[in-house]
Amino acid sequence: MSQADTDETLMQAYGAGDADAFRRLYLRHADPVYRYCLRASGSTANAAEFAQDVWTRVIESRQRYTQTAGFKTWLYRIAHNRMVDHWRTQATRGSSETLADEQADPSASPERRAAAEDCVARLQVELAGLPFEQCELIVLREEGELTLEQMAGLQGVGRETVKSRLRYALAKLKEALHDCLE
Amino acid sequence: MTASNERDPDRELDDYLAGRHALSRLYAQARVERPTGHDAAILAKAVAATRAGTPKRGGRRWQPVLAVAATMVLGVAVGWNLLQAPGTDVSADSDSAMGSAPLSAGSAAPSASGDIAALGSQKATEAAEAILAEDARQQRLAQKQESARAAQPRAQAFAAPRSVPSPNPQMAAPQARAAPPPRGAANPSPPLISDDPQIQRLIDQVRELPDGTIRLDGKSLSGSALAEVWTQRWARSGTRCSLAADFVEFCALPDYEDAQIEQDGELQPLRPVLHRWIRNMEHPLR
Repeated sequence: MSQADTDETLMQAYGAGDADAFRRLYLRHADPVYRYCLRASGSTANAAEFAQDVWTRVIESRQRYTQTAGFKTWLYRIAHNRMVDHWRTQATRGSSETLADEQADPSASPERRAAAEDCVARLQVELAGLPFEQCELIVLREEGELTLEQMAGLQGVGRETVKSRLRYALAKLKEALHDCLE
Repeated sequence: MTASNERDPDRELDDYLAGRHALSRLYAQARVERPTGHDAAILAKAVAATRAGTPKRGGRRWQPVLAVAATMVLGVAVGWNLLQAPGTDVSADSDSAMGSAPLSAGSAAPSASGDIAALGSQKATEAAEAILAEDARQQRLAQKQESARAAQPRAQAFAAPRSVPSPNPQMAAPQARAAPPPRGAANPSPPLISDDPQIQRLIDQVRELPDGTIRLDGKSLSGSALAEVWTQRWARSGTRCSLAADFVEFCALPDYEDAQIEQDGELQPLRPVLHRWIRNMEHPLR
């Protein structure tokens, strides 16, 4: 199997019993999936566990994967469902200890508040402050490079709704991080 | 809000989707790497899943196929036994089928027993019983075919003399023609113990007839000599002459179809008289 093998062929090879194909898939997507879980959950404490759940689900579902669905769309749908389950149990996003809470808490230590002044840290805080649907779209675009259609299918909404959500998210982030985005 | 301001979000979105937005650059700086603590566990789980083979759902998919294959193997074994068992070929000559019929049941039984030991299951037992039942059915079918042949015109059925040795020179003329294959050619077996006892009584009755009572082609036949011929035929007939009526048709009358018997001062055909004797066996005429 060459380096140029697509995600889809690798996943099918793994479904046929090629464990090395899974290893290569995992190395390609482990970091983006982890970051998706991190941004979507807003919690460093849970992100690794969520990511592990996602990959476990991929392993268990290897026989059901068909190439009709792009691998990334399929992978992030699994991750999306995992996050939806998480937020259902949490009732509302941010009710648990989240990255936003950790980094935006005004009573946090001076060191953490100082770190929050860093653009990267502020971005994380602002992402965590977005509604889940908007934050997820930013993360899906940045991490998975999903198209508007793929994101619409994943969230179960129309393409225009995705565009609208993205506009709102961009506007909020630009407003909060205008000094970092210039 | 002006029209240009309304277009800004669209332009900004287009830039973002095209990868030209400053947010993407900032996001790239915010990327962190995953903690690798779970990598080994996930990869090990993936390898274990492939080593575990086909998942349960796939295994269940193979079960009907396996069941069909097992059924086919069992069916072929039973069919092979049916084909190999002697006396089961209904297309074979009925005489040879009749001759081998008594042996077929006996020879099929050990074969079926061997199969039972080989298969070692309840289904194998049922299959062996089916083989034996099929043998019995084939025997009955062969008997019916022989009966139909015996009912054909005498000139066609008994055109050639029969090669049964006659103990009496007086009986030498009628020769057996189409004798059924004997159970043992060199040493004929005695009549089956399950044979109709009326047969022996019928033979005895003929043996006691006075000389000259039975006539064939104008010649007198000795009752004792005729009884001896019939006894030999009976012994070599297998199951074909187990019943008294069958004995008359298949063992006694061949070569003696035209025989007559003197009763009440008149010569009567032998056939109806023999059958009447059988019907009145409890009250024999003589």
